[in-house]
Amino acid sequence: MSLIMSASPKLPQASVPDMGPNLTSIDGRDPGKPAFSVSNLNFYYGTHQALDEISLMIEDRIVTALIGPSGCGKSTFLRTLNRMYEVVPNTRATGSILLRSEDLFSIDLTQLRRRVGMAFQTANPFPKSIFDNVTYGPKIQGDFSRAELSDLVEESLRRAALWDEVKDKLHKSALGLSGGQQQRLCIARALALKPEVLLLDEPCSALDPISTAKIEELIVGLKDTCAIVIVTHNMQQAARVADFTGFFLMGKLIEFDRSTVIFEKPKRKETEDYITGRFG
Amino acid sequence: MATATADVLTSRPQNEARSRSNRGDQIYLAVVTSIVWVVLAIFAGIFVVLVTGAWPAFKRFGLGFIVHTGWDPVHLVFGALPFIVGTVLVAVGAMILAGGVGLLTAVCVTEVLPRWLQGPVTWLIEMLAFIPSVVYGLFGLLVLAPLLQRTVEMWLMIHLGPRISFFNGAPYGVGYLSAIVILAVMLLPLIVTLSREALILVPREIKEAGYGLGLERWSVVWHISVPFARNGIIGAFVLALGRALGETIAVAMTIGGGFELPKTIMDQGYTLASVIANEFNEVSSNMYLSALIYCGLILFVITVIVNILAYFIVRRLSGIHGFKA
Repeated sequence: MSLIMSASPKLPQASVPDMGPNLTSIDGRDPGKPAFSVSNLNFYYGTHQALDEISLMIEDRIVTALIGPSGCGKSTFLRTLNRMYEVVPNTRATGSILLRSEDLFSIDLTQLRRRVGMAFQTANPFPKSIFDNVTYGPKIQGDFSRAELSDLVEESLRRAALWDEVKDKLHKSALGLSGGQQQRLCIARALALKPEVLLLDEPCSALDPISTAKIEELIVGLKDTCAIVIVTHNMQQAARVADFTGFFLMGKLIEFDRSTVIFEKPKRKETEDYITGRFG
Repeated sequence: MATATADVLTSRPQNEARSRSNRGDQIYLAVVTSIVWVVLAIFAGIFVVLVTGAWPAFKRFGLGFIVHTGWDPVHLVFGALPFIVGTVLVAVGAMILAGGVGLLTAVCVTEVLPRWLQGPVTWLIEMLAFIPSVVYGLFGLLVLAPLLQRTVEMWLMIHLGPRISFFNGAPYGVGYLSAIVILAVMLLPLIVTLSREALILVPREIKEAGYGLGLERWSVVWHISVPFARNGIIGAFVLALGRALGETIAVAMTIGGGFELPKTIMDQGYTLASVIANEFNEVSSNMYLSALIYCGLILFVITVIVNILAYFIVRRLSGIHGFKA
């Protein structure tokens, strides 16, 4: 198992043998190619450096968790993966990120955001019906018949484990749903675009334990179709859902390894201090 | 004041404190209620004064005053239709100009300009609101009207005039068009400032949701931010319309003056407000005075109706399904 350190100038080989579920080629993706290959990524808000020489590989069809104390750069890192940071003025990223084998910084932004879906810390459904929320992305992308849209809505809501709860009120407002349901709706909205990767930025931070459990369950269920990167404050959550975990501290990636290694026998002192609750 | 210990030991001081605060509440309630009644009384008072002042003209012309033309102070024949049409023409024209430009400016100021420019530009636009309307009138009369006369009115007359009779007028400079343009400039700060506030309140999360689905910046602005801020923007437009209907002195100085129905946009005429301002000094009989006050009453009623309609429109649109893509 390769341990990728933040300071390592070259990427270690991605280890193939016991990596995640059996990868077969569906929808034309390169099987076995990592979802993201990040090397020497630096990120700046104005003059403040928020990420410092980050290098790691995020494998396809597994769940990768990013943990660390507030302000450590884990959310910033997540937002470089679909260039969401470009919404904020005065930001700059250097280094390289490959999405599969393409340079992420030269992919058309609209295409990138469709391939790399995202759900946010606060559930942010549009003040429209449940149906319209799920079809919002696809509708802007192209023409779909009513039947196609209905199928897409059902499929996306099923994958987001929300279908049974909302199938009788698809045309009611999304704002009438509970917080947990809204968050799953936002995940369904992202899934409707059939993304290769789903980024989750602390998706459960505002939810109760039962809603959180439902989201964790659906995250694990999504692994067979896309790679998932989740930022979380909750270490138990990372341990429960993630195959791999990266620990960030002050803009650096301190340790990145299988979750079992990170949570049971971390190699770095900082990681151990953090997961045992000595700080952070 | 009752101390905490006293509260615990005996209930009397606590009761005293409560009754004292009750008395405070009562005084507060009385003051606030009486202020509300004062406002309502002023509103009713204005209405009563207008009705009594307009009574002689109302008795003589009835509701026909609203639909008749003709303004003859010598034979005492009065009809307010040209001014009502003029008011609507000027207000709607100014709203179209200022609404389009103002909304685009508000979007530009919140979503397009770099952050360091947003403040200064907004401040400059807000400054437009502090210029007294008589100064706008002077500017319109001395600068804008001659400029429009040489440029826009000439162009309209030559290029659109032969095909559309509404533009086939003599370019005098002063007239409906000049009043519309100067009024639009006056409405701009109101529309920009209030629309901007509504756009700023659009939650970042909602916009991010749009970006996350691959929408481009303009799509996010037009499909998410503007619909989300719609109630605030409509509110801005309603306030601007109220101002447009009632604006007096700048319009009076640029509209030229005339008692006939507008046939072209370059004609000279009056709005309800400007006819009162400009003709008040010419009043030669009680009936003439009463006819002008009748005009004021019509303006008052129109403004009230517009605001009531706006209230219901905003209330209907603020339903949970109101947001449309």
